[in-house]
Amino acid sequence: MKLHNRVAGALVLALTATFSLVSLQTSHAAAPSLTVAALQDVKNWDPSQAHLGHPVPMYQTVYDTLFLRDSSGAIKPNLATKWYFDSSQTHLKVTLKTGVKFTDGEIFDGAAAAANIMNNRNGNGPDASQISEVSDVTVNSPSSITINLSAPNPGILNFLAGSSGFIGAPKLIGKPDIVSNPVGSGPYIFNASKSSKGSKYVFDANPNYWNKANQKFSSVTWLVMADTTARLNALLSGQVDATLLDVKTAAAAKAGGAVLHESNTDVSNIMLMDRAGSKVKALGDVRVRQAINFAIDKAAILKATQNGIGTVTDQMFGLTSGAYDASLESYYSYDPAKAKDLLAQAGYANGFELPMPNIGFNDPALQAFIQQYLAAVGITVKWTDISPANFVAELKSGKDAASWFQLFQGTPWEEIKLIAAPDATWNIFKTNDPVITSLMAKIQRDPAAAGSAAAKINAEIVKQAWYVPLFRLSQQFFTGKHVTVVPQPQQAVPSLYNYSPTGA
Amino acid sequence: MASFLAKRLLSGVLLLFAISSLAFFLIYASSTNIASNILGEGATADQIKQKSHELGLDQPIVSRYFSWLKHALHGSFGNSWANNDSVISEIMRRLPITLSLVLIAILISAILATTLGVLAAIKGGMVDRVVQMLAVAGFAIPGFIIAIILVTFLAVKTHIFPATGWVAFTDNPSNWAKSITLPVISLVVATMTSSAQQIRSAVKSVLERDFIRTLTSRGISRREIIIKHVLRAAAPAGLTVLSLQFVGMLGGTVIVEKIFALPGMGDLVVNATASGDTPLVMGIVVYTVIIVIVVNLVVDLINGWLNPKVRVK
Repeated sequence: MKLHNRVAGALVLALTATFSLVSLQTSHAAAPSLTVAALQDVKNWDPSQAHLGHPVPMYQTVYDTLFLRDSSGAIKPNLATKWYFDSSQTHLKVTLKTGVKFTDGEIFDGAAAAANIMNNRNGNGPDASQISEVSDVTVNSPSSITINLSAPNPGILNFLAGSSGFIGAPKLIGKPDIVSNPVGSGPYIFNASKSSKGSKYVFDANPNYWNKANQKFSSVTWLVMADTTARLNALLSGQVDATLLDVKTAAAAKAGGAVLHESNTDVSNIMLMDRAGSKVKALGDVRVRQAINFAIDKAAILKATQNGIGTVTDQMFGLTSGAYDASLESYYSYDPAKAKDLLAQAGYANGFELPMPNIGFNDPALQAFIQQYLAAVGITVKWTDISPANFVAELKSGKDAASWFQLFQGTPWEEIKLIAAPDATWNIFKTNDPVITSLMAKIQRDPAAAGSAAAKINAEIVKQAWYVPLFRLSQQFFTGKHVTVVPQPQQAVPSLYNYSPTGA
Repeated sequence: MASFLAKRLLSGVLLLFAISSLAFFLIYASSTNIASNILGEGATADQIKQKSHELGLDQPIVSRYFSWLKHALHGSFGNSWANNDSVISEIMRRLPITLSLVLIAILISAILATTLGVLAAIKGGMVDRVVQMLAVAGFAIPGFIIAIILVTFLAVKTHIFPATGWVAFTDNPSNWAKSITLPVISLVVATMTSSAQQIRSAVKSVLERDFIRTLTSRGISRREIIIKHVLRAAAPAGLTVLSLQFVGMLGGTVIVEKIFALPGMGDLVVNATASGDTPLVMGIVVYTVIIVIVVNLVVDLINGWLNPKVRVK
């Protein structure tokens, strides 16, 4: 009995001690601070190592860019006040803002801008290829530079407004310190003492920031959380103000009072890469590629794998790309009879074997649907094993004739360089379509025509069935009650400038 | 005792060398396209070639191994290929978090498991049956389910504890206690119940031995027999179980750290291995093996202290 009493006493003591350490309220940082749970960590804080997508707003906290993409996707002045291309589209003259200082006291000028552009060009970072046409930068005066290109790059303003254009303090550029202690001229200053590499980055407002309109919070904190459930719990418990979730956690977030800000960034698709039929002869026939498009019930897959959230599509270019064509959306309506007919016309009435990399690690249900729909028209998918960690690298190696993949939907030039150009990232077999190359040349001569020319390229790759677009994925970005945000077109998560305190 | 310690240390060093060498060649065999993975999908062939050269991937594997070994023997594990951060500083930033989780969890498990195991063994009946049921439940319910239940009710719904994140003890002891409570409970449940079962069996077995009957017949109190003799005799079995639990928990924290977004070793191990970040993986392997060797050594020393026969062997 005495032992029972002592055990009970010890338990009560332990519980009392624990609860005495624990306050009953989870405190929320006083407004207007901003705390965001980020899906990915930055590689490091060297501007030349910045990568498009999830880490971009983290870099925007401390670094300015010459140009700024606003929430509609339009290019606006930032550190650059005016700019124009010469008639050859290979010399971009930029007038710079004066009176801007980096937070270490250095002055922003033409030399600082030039040093940063060349550092981003030469740093062998993930996005260095975006600005590979930059041959050098001429400093005309402290307030003027000319960016010289070896060939026209119609996406250069976008790239310099994004991951290839962050401007760091000149003394630190190319030095080891900037890897862990970023210093820029941006709206916030890195607070190293409150930050912990890999998990938490705290930034305090830059008191001397030149553009107060883009500095809406007293501090910004980025918490790195790879796990979706952890991000959901952090949002619902009030630990963070905003985060990206997915279609599986969206209902719980809505039920908990979080506000959804939906956008489209990626398209789920099957890349029919071997369009010459060098590895799988059948894929060399456009009728076979079209048959695959007709064979798949995209709406059924969307419903089963994404809870119906997203939009079925027949084209690779996104809604906000300027190349989107609504009339293409019914080009390949689900029609297995037509698919069989096209296969028969191409000489494959008895079907053929199509090897593709196994995607069971990513989405086993999607894999099962693809197999089932193609089998129904006589195409036998043979799944080949591939390491998830090496999936992208393996696809790029050119071993596979076709594969499922999720592709980013960018601005017209980005999209062309990603999926359509002869040297595009995902034109693995270097398919060269003269219609596309002539339209690309037109865009390089006249960037203003990018939208209409890209629309023609979009139509061409739909008709040639280079891809089997399945559906545009819906980005499920949520905010809590203290903050609101506007999604950023062609970006996985909103830019930092798109956040505002609620009611502001 | 000195010879006992020397033998254990020597075998530990040999084990460290063997495991680290094996790990190096296994990573080499399983990692391809490292430069491409680091640079991402937009990288050009020239960029990939340049990165491969920077990382020394164009060197023969044997010369890469001896280069790594030479630096490791001088205490340098190089920099992470993924983010260029020092491997040692990366590990030292995260290891204390995982170790504090595991040490606190194993300490609480040891106290609770010993209490429950001894109670079950000496009381029998209903207490014994309850402990055995708890052991089965502890085995059957995965730690991550317990973690999700805890976070839903005690963090998201009631806000008693934070749902995610880590606060260093030196920054704020109260918030540190808040941040560690739910992860520790998630780890303790399974460990404690299975250890209690093992300790129960060890105590029961000792209670049935002749010397216990002799001590009882000499009129020594039951309490004194249990504390001075039964626990001492049953301790080696309990310690061995707890040391195995400790090693298992080092790996088991991966999921708990993920659910609570704790910046421990879990994410580091998974990401480094998936990306083929050889310097970081090798640093993690060496540190983990050293921890396991030290834990086993401490357990051996305690067992040797408790039982002289172990030292003689």
